[in-house]
Amino acid sequence: MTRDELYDRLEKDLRDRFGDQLYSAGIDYGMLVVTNPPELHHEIAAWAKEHEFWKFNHFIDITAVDQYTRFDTHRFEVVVHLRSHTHNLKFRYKTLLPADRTHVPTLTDLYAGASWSEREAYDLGGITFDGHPRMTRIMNPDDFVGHPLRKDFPVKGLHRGSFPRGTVVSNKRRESVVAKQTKPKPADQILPRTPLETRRERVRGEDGDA
Amino acid sequence: MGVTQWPGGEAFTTRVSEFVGWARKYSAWPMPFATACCGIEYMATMASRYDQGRFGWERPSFSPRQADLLIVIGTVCIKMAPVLKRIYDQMAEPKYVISMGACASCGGMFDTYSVVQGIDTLFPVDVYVPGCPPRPEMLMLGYTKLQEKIQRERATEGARR
Repeated sequence: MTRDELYDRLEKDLRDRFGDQLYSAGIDYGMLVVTNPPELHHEIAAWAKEHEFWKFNHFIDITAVDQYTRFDTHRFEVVVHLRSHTHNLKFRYKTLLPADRTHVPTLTDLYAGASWSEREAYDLGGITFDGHPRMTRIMNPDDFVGHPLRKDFPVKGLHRGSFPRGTVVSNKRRESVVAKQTKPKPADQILPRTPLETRRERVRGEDGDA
Repeated sequence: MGVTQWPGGEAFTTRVSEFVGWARKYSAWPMPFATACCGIEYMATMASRYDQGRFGWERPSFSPRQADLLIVIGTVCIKMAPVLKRIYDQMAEPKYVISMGACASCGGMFDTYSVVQGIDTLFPVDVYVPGCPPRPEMLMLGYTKLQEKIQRERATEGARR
Protein backbone atom coordinates (compact mmCIF):
# COMPACT_ATOMS: atom_id res chain seq x y z
CA MET A 1 0.00 0.00 0.00
CA THR A 2 1.09 3.53 -0.61
CA ARG A 3 1.44 5.91 2.28
CA ASP A 4 -1.79 7.71 1.41
CA GLU A 5 -3.67 4.44 1.47
CA LEU A 6 -2.05 3.52 4.77
CA TYR A 7 -3.04 6.86 6.27
CA ASP A 8 -6.61 6.44 5.03
CA ARG A 9 -6.81 3.03 6.61
CA LEU A 10 -5.20 4.21 9.86
CA GLU A 11 -7.61 7.11 10.09
CA LYS A 12 -10.54 4.77 9.52
CA ASP A 13 -9.24 2.32 12.14
CA LEU A 14 -8.78 5.11 14.66
CA ARG A 15 -12.28 6.42 14.02
CA ASP A 16 -13.74 2.93 14.29
CA ARG A 17 -11.99 2.33 17.58
CA PHE A 18 -12.41 5.72 19.28
CA GLY A 19 -15.34 7.18 17.35
CA ASP A 20 -16.68 10.49 18.52
CA GLN A 21 -14.17 10.74 21.34
CA LEU A 22 -11.60 12.04 18.88
CA TYR A 23 -11.73 15.78 18.31
CA SER A 24 -10.31 15.54 14.82
CA ALA A 25 -8.24 13.40 12.48
CA GLY A 26 -6.71 14.32 9.16
CA ILE A 27 -3.63 14.82 7.08
CA ASP A 28 -1.56 17.84 8.11
CA TYR A 29 1.79 18.61 6.49
CA GLY A 30 1.86 15.13 4.98
CA MET A 31 1.26 13.29 8.24
CA LEU A 32 -1.83 11.94 9.92
CA VAL A 33 -2.64 14.15 12.91
CA VAL A 34 -5.17 13.24 15.56
CA THR A 35 -6.40 15.46 18.36
CA ASN A 36 -7.96 13.89 21.38
CA PRO A 37 -8.99 14.53 24.99
CA PRO A 38 -6.64 13.50 27.83
CA GLU A 39 -8.74 10.43 28.58
CA LEU A 40 -7.48 8.87 25.35
CA HIS A 41 -3.84 9.84 25.82
CA HIS A 42 -2.73 6.47 27.09
CA GLU A 43 -5.35 4.46 25.19
CA ILE A 44 -4.30 5.59 21.73
CA ALA A 45 -0.67 4.67 22.38
CA ALA A 46 -1.67 1.30 23.84
CA TRP A 47 -3.96 0.59 20.90
CA ALA A 48 -1.38 1.64 18.33
CA LYS A 49 1.33 -0.44 19.94
CA GLU A 50 -0.72 -3.59 20.44
CA HIS A 51 -2.66 -3.48 17.16
CA GLU A 52 -1.83 -6.62 15.23
CA PHE A 53 -1.72 -4.89 11.87
CA TRP A 54 -0.24 -1.48 12.70
CA LYS A 55 2.35 -2.37 15.36
CA PHE A 56 3.52 1.13 16.21
CA ASN A 57 6.59 -0.19 17.94
CA HIS A 58 8.81 2.89 17.80
CA PHE A 59 8.22 5.75 20.19
CA ILE A 60 9.75 8.87 18.62
CA ASP A 61 8.97 11.76 20.91
CA ILE A 62 6.59 13.25 23.41
CA THR A 63 6.57 16.96 24.03
CA ALA A 64 4.36 19.72 25.36
CA VAL A 65 3.21 22.90 23.65
CA ASP A 66 1.96 25.97 25.46
CA GLN A 67 -0.66 27.64 23.28
CA TYR A 68 -1.29 30.16 26.06
CA THR A 69 -4.23 32.37 25.05
CA ARG A 70 -4.48 31.17 21.47
CA PHE A 71 -7.50 28.95 22.09
CA ASP A 72 -10.39 29.44 24.48
CA THR A 73 -10.78 25.73 25.10
CA HIS A 74 -7.34 24.67 26.16
CA ARG A 75 -3.87 25.93 26.91
CA PHE A 76 -1.50 22.94 26.80
CA GLU A 77 -1.09 20.29 24.14
CA VAL A 78 0.90 17.12 24.61
CA VAL A 79 2.19 15.90 21.25
CA VAL A 80 3.22 12.30 20.65
CA HIS A 81 4.91 10.88 17.55
CA LEU A 82 4.84 7.15 16.92
CA ARG A 83 6.34 5.12 14.10
CA SER A 84 5.60 1.65 12.82
CA HIS A 85 8.66 -0.11 11.49
CA THR A 86 6.37 -2.67 9.83
CA HIS A 87 4.83 -0.06 7.53
CA ASN A 88 7.47 2.66 7.72
CA LEU A 89 4.72 5.00 8.84
CA LYS A 90 4.58 7.82 11.36
CA PHE A 91 1.58 9.47 12.94
CA ARG A 92 1.09 12.18 15.48
CA TYR A 93 -1.55 12.68 18.10
CA LYS A 94 -2.11 15.75 20.16
CA THR A 95 -3.72 15.54 23.55
CA LEU A 96 -5.49 18.80 24.32
CA LEU A 97 -5.55 19.55 28.05
CA PRO A 98 -8.69 21.48 28.93
CA ALA A 99 -8.46 24.68 30.97
CA ASP A 100 -5.55 24.64 33.38
CA ARG A 101 -5.06 20.90 33.51
CA THR A 102 -1.34 20.05 33.46
CA HIS A 103 -1.19 16.28 33.89
CA VAL A 104 -1.66 13.23 31.68
CA PRO A 105 -0.92 9.53 32.18
CA THR A 106 2.60 8.39 31.48
CA LEU A 107 3.53 6.26 28.47
CA THR A 108 6.57 4.74 30.15
CA ASP A 109 4.66 1.52 30.84
CA LEU A 110 4.34 1.06 27.06
CA TYR A 111 7.55 2.65 25.82
CA ALA A 112 10.52 2.83 28.18
CA GLY A 113 12.03 5.46 25.91
CA ALA A 114 9.32 7.90 26.89
CA SER A 115 10.92 8.41 30.28
CA TRP A 116 13.43 11.13 29.49
CA SER A 117 11.14 12.88 27.01
CA GLU A 118 8.42 13.08 29.63
CA ARG A 119 10.88 14.45 32.16
CA GLU A 120 11.91 17.04 29.61
CA ALA A 121 8.29 18.00 29.02
CA TYR A 122 7.89 18.33 32.79
CA ASP A 123 11.07 20.35 33.20
CA LEU A 124 10.46 22.83 30.42
CA GLY A 125 6.68 22.74 29.98
CA GLY A 126 5.44 21.88 33.44
CA ILE A 127 3.31 18.93 32.41
CA THR A 128 3.33 16.11 34.96
CA PHE A 129 2.94 12.52 33.85
CA ASP A 130 0.98 10.38 36.28
CA GLY A 131 2.70 7.09 37.04
CA HIS A 132 6.12 8.08 35.77
CA PRO A 133 8.79 6.33 37.86
CA ARG A 134 10.85 9.47 38.46
CA MET A 135 9.06 12.68 37.60
CA THR A 136 11.86 15.16 38.24
CA ARG A 137 13.72 17.79 36.29
CA ILE A 138 16.13 16.48 33.71
CA MET A 139 18.01 19.50 32.34
CA ASN A 140 17.57 22.40 34.72
CA PRO A 141 19.02 22.24 38.24
CA ASP A 142 16.80 20.58 40.81
CA ASP A 143 16.23 23.86 42.66
CA PHE A 144 15.15 25.68 39.51
CA VAL A 145 11.91 27.63 39.80
CA GLY A 146 9.35 27.63 37.00
CA HIS A 147 9.08 25.99 33.61
CA PRO A 148 11.01 27.92 30.95
CA LEU A 149 9.10 27.06 27.80
CA ARG A 150 5.81 28.29 29.17
CA LYS A 151 4.78 31.47 27.46
CA ASP A 152 4.43 33.38 30.73
CA PHE A 153 7.94 32.52 31.88
CA PRO A 154 10.25 35.55 31.79
CA VAL A 155 13.06 35.03 29.30
CA LYS A 156 15.70 35.97 31.86
CA GLY A 157 14.32 33.58 34.43
CA LEU A 158 12.92 33.90 37.91
CA HIS A 159 15.86 32.38 39.65
CA ARG A 160 19.55 32.25 38.91
CA GLY A 161 20.73 29.27 40.91
CA SER A 162 22.65 29.19 44.16
CA PHE A 163 25.61 31.46 43.71
CA PRO A 164 27.88 32.94 46.37
CA ARG A 165 26.63 36.44 45.74
CA GLY A 166 23.01 35.36 45.68
CA THR A 167 21.85 36.35 42.25
CA VAL A 168 23.57 37.03 38.97
CA VAL A 169 21.15 39.52 37.53
CA SER A 170 18.21 41.22 39.11
CA ASN A 171 15.01 40.31 37.36
CA LYS A 172 12.73 42.46 39.43
CA ARG A 173 11.54 44.67 36.61
CA ARG A 174 10.74 41.78 34.34
CA GLU A 175 8.96 39.87 37.05
CA SER A 176 6.54 42.69 37.70
CA VAL A 177 5.79 43.13 34.01
CA VAL A 178 5.09 39.45 33.63
CA ALA A 179 2.96 39.26 36.74
CA LYS A 180 0.52 41.77 35.25
CA GLN A 181 0.05 39.74 32.10
CA THR A 182 -0.23 36.39 33.79
CA LYS A 183 -3.51 34.77 34.70
CA PRO A 184 -3.65 33.30 38.19
CA LYS A 185 -2.59 29.66 38.11
CA PRO A 186 -2.30 26.84 40.63
CA ALA A 187 0.91 26.74 42.60
CA ASP A 188 3.85 25.05 40.96
CA GLN A 189 3.68 21.36 41.63
CA ILE A 190 6.32 20.50 44.15
CA LEU A 191 7.25 16.85 43.96
CA PRO A 192 8.53 14.75 46.85
CA ARG A 193 12.29 14.44 46.96
CA THR A 194 13.95 11.18 46.06
CA PRO A 195 16.49 9.69 48.52
CA LEU A 196 19.32 10.68 46.17
CA GLU A 197 18.20 14.29 46.14
CA THR A 198 17.78 14.35 49.89
CA ARG A 199 21.32 13.09 50.32
CA ARG A 200 22.65 15.60 47.81
CA GLU A 201 20.95 18.42 49.68
CA ARG A 202 22.46 17.26 52.95
CA VAL A 203 25.92 17.19 51.40
CA ARG A 204 25.47 20.62 49.85
CA GLY A 205 24.17 22.17 53.03
CA GLU A 206 21.15 24.29 53.80
CA ASP A 207 21.81 27.05 51.28
CA GLY A 208 22.42 24.65 48.42
CA ASP A 209 25.87 26.10 47.83
CA ALA A 210 28.22 23.44 46.45
CA MET B 1 69.23 44.76 38.99
CA GLY B 2 72.76 44.55 37.83
CA VAL B 3 75.42 41.98 37.07
CA THR B 4 78.38 42.13 39.44
CA GLN B 5 81.62 40.25 39.67
CA TRP B 6 81.69 37.78 42.50
CA PRO B 7 84.41 35.42 43.66
CA GLY B 8 83.91 32.41 41.39
CA GLY B 9 81.89 34.16 38.63
CA GLU B 10 79.22 36.70 37.86
CA ALA B 11 76.18 37.29 40.03
CA PHE B 12 73.20 39.58 39.82
CA THR B 13 71.17 41.23 42.47
CA THR B 14 67.42 41.74 42.31
CA ARG B 15 64.40 41.93 44.55
CA VAL B 16 62.75 38.70 45.65
CA SER B 17 59.37 39.87 44.37
CA GLU B 18 60.67 40.56 40.92
CA PHE B 19 62.51 37.28 40.75
CA VAL B 20 59.54 35.23 41.93
CA GLY B 21 57.21 37.15 39.65
CA TRP B 22 59.53 36.54 36.73
CA ALA B 23 59.59 32.82 37.51
CA ARG B 24 55.86 32.58 37.99
CA LYS B 25 54.83 34.42 34.88
CA TYR B 26 56.64 31.95 32.64
CA SER B 27 55.46 28.82 34.40
CA ALA B 28 51.67 28.91 34.55
CA TRP B 29 49.94 25.57 34.35
CA PRO B 30 46.61 26.33 32.70
CA MET B 31 43.46 24.41 33.43
CA PRO B 32 41.26 24.82 30.34
CA PHE B 33 37.57 24.68 31.18
CA ALA B 34 36.16 24.53 27.67
CA THR B 35 32.38 24.31 27.43
CA ALA B 36 31.58 25.84 24.05
CA CYS B 37 32.85 26.95 20.66
CA CYS B 38 35.64 29.11 22.14
CA GLY B 39 37.23 25.78 22.98
CA ILE B 40 38.07 25.33 19.31
CA GLU B 41 40.01 28.58 19.35
CA TYR B 42 41.76 27.47 22.48
CA MET B 43 42.72 24.22 20.75
CA ALA B 44 44.26 26.29 17.96
CA THR B 45 46.13 28.30 20.57
CA MET B 46 47.43 25.10 22.08
CA ALA B 47 48.46 23.53 18.81
CA SER B 48 51.61 23.99 16.80
CA ARG B 49 50.61 26.91 14.60
CA TYR B 50 50.14 29.34 17.50
CA ASP B 51 51.85 27.32 20.22
CA GLN B 52 51.10 28.71 23.62
CA GLY B 53 54.26 26.97 24.87
CA ARG B 54 56.28 29.87 23.49
CA PHE B 55 54.98 32.02 26.34
CA GLY B 56 55.52 29.62 29.16
CA TRP B 57 52.08 28.04 29.60
CA GLU B 58 53.24 24.91 27.95
CA ARG B 59 51.39 22.27 29.83
CA PRO B 60 47.60 22.23 30.03
CA SER B 61 46.66 20.57 33.27
CA PHE B 62 43.33 18.83 33.16
CA SER B 63 43.31 18.48 36.91
CA PRO B 64 42.55 21.66 38.86
CA ARG B 65 44.76 20.62 41.77
CA GLN B 66 47.84 20.70 39.58
CA ALA B 67 46.93 23.99 37.93
CA ASP B 68 47.28 27.64 38.82
CA LEU B 69 45.63 29.31 35.83
CA LEU B 70 41.95 28.68 35.18
CA ILE B 71 40.88 29.54 31.64
CA VAL B 72 37.10 29.52 31.40
CA ILE B 73 36.30 29.07 27.75
CA GLY B 74 32.70 29.39 26.68
CA THR B 75 29.16 29.48 28.01
CA VAL B 76 28.59 28.42 31.60
CA CYS B 77 25.11 27.21 32.46
CA ILE B 78 23.71 27.68 35.94
CA LYS B 79 23.76 23.93 36.37
CA MET B 80 27.48 23.98 35.65
CA ALA B 81 28.16 26.94 37.96
CA PRO B 82 28.61 24.93 41.19
CA VAL B 83 30.98 22.58 39.35
CA LEU B 84 33.06 25.48 38.09
CA LYS B 85 33.12 27.06 41.53
CA ARG B 86 34.36 23.81 43.01
CA ILE B 87 37.09 23.56 40.38
CA TYR B 88 38.20 27.07 41.25
CA ASP B 89 38.22 26.26 44.95
CA GLN B 90 40.34 23.18 44.37
CA MET B 91 43.13 25.09 42.69
CA ALA B 92 46.12 25.98 44.85
CA GLU B 93 47.17 29.56 45.55
CA PRO B 94 48.37 31.64 43.84
CA LYS B 95 45.74 31.18 41.18
CA TYR B 96 44.70 33.25 38.23
CA VAL B 97 41.62 33.28 36.02
CA ILE B 98 41.25 34.19 32.38
CA SER B 99 37.72 34.55 31.08
CA MET B 100 37.77 33.78 27.38
CA GLY B 101 34.97 34.93 25.12
CA ALA B 102 31.81 36.97 25.51
CA CYS B 103 29.80 34.18 27.15
CA ALA B 104 32.23 33.54 29.97
CA SER B 105 32.78 37.26 30.50
CA CYS B 106 29.19 38.48 30.59
CA GLY B 107 26.84 35.80 29.33
CA GLY B 108 27.25 37.00 25.75
CA MET B 109 24.15 36.70 23.65
CA PHE B 110 22.67 34.16 26.06
CA ASP B 111 20.85 36.59 28.29
CA THR B 112 18.52 33.83 29.41
CA TYR B 113 17.33 31.91 32.40
CA SER B 114 19.88 29.13 32.07
CA VAL B 115 23.20 30.91 31.54
CA VAL B 116 25.51 32.48 34.11
CA GLN B 117 25.86 36.18 33.28
CA GLY B 118 29.62 36.28 33.59
CA ILE B 119 31.84 34.03 35.64
CA ASP B 120 32.89 37.01 37.76
CA THR B 121 29.67 36.38 39.63
CA LEU B 122 31.27 33.16 40.86
CA PHE B 123 34.89 34.16 41.56
CA PRO B 124 37.33 36.98 40.72
CA VAL B 125 38.65 37.19 37.18
CA ASP B 126 42.07 38.59 36.26
CA VAL B 127 41.80 39.02 32.50
CA TYR B 128 38.77 39.20 30.26
CA VAL B 129 39.29 38.28 26.63
CA PRO B 130 36.39 39.61 24.55
CA GLY B 131 35.28 38.19 21.24
CA CYS B 132 32.82 35.68 19.89
CA PRO B 133 35.00 33.71 19.72
CA PRO B 134 38.32 35.50 20.27
CA ARG B 135 41.15 34.60 17.93
CA PRO B 136 44.19 32.82 19.33
CA GLU B 137 46.14 36.06 19.11
CA MET B 138 43.63 37.68 21.42
CA LEU B 139 43.96 34.92 23.97
CA MET B 140 47.73 35.23 23.76
CA LEU B 141 47.45 38.98 24.32
CA GLY B 142 45.27 38.24 27.32
CA TYR B 143 47.87 35.89 28.65
CA THR B 144 50.58 38.50 28.10
CA LYS B 145 48.53 40.98 30.11
CA LEU B 146 48.22 38.41 32.84
CA GLN B 147 51.99 37.93 32.78
CA GLU B 148 52.42 41.65 33.36
CA LYS B 149 50.04 41.43 36.28
CA ILE B 150 51.86 38.46 37.77
CA GLN B 151 55.19 40.30 37.40
CA ARG B 152 53.84 43.24 39.39
CA GLU B 153 52.76 41.08 42.31
CA ARG B 154 54.60 41.02 45.61
CA ALA B 155 55.84 37.52 46.38
CA THR B 156 55.54 37.93 50.14
CA GLU B 157 51.85 38.70 50.13
CA GLY B 158 50.95 35.08 50.54
CA ALA B 159 47.44 34.34 49.45
CA ARG B 160 46.70 36.91 46.83
CA ARG B 161 43.13 37.64 47.74
